Amino acid sequence: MAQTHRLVHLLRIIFAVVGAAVVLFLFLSYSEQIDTPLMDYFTADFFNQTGATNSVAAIYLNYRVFDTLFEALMLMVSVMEVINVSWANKHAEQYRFEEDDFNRKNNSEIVIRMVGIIYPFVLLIGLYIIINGHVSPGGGFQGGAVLATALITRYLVYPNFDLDLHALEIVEKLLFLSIVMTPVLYVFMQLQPADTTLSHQIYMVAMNTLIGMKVFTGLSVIFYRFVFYEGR
Amino acid sequence: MKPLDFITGEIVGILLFFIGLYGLMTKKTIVKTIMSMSIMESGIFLFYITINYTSGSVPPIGQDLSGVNYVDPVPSALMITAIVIGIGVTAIGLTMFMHYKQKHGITHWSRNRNQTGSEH
Amino acid sequence: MFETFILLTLLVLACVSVFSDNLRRSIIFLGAFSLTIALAYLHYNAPDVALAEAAIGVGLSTVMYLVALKKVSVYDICYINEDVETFNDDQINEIMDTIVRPLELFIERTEEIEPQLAYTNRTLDLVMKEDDHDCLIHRKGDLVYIYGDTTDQVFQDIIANLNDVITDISDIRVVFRDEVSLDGTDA
Repeated sequence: MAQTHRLVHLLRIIFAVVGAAVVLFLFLSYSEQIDTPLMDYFTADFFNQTGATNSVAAIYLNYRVFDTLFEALMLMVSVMEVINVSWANKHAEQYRFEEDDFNRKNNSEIVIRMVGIIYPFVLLIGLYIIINGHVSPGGGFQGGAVLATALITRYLVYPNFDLDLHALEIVEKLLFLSIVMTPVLYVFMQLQPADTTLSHQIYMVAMNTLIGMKVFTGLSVIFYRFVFYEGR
Repeated sequence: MKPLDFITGEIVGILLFFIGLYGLMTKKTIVKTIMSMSIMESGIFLFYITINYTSGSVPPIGQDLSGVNYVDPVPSALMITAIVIGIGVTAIGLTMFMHYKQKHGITHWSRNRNQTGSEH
Repeated sequence: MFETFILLTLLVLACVSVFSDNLRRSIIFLGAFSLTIALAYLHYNAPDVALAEAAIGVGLSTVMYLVALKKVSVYDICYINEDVETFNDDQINEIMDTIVRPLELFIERTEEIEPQLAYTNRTLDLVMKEDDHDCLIHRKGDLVYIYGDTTDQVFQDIIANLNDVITDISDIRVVFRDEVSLDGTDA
């Protein structure tokens, strides 16, 4: 038994090593420099076409906006799955914490004070990243994730289940609807007030804000369902 | 060619992928499996990011990029969405892991499969 | 040079976090891995991806792994000694050296689970009725009993290797909880 187990283990190691060697050999021997037609097309005139200074934002908000739509769909599906599994057989109200369960004795004073100082700055950074996503590195996804980490720091100080997750969930679905609607109307159907840079930039900021809020609500629902799974 | 020249981003991406694959094959813990999957994901991201990289380039940000050696923005835009999907996959995996532990007492593959699984 | 250093660090951190025996340690190494790969993205001039990785990979997913680990993946051992009024450090050290440390090592090495330990001086019946521990170690005078379930595969492994695990005490009696009635009449 132990012999065959060791044999299987050795086989796995050999498989991994040989696989890596084969892929590396193929990569080093037969890789060729390919042309970059997509890059040339996307970076040729992106400022005039989309109004974004950051070409990455131009790609994921205008040229390849389908990517963003399906990414938002994936995030919503994962949120639904997390909620479905963790509320499988009991109702959500059972997990509500009593007021007495919250005691500050478990948390250190230093953490509470420091998080109180840091908290507004984290929110500020998140909002900055969202709003300035089209001119500087950043955007909806990153800013939403930073806002969600701000919520995690709030949980560290105040571990209480007083968020209305049901409302957050509904807000997330509405945001998804508007995320789908905005590019469909603006990019695909060309219902633009004017074909100017300012109009495009307003669209960019609106899209980034919507995506940021969507990622923020989705990740916070996931995190809070995660922490209060079975309410232990 | 010096041996250190072989350590480029693409090669390290491939190696990371296979390290993750090895962990996926050999480790019995479910959490380790999810972690190996995220290491594989990171390897793929690194491969994509460095696939068209030339040294001395700048980030593709600016109103007029003509005459500047800038990097390819397409893999960046693809990988941002992939990272967000990756955290969704991790969350789903960990939730299902917690669910299995609670319902069937499973924390390992190929363990307790038909012993405690049917009772609870 | 900077690039080579970062990439080698990436490989080392990935290896450590995959091959480490301790789950909590490997989660922390995975967080360090995410931070390093964010630096690598920054080096390769992809600041957007670096920002996303720093926020999501380092912040969110590490916390989620830690929460999941804290919720479930512990093997719960309870040490009971009814004769002791309060446990002081010497007693705990003695218990640690003879029973607990080898058991922890064994569980970490072979089963890849985190053991979690509790000491109590309440009576055995009370603990069995109220708490839900995976494994109970009961010390009565000079005798040591180990309680566990027959369906528990980890417990079966511990029993099978008990002579190798705990070498200091030769007289340990094993009691299967689901085969013995809880009246206190052990086999």
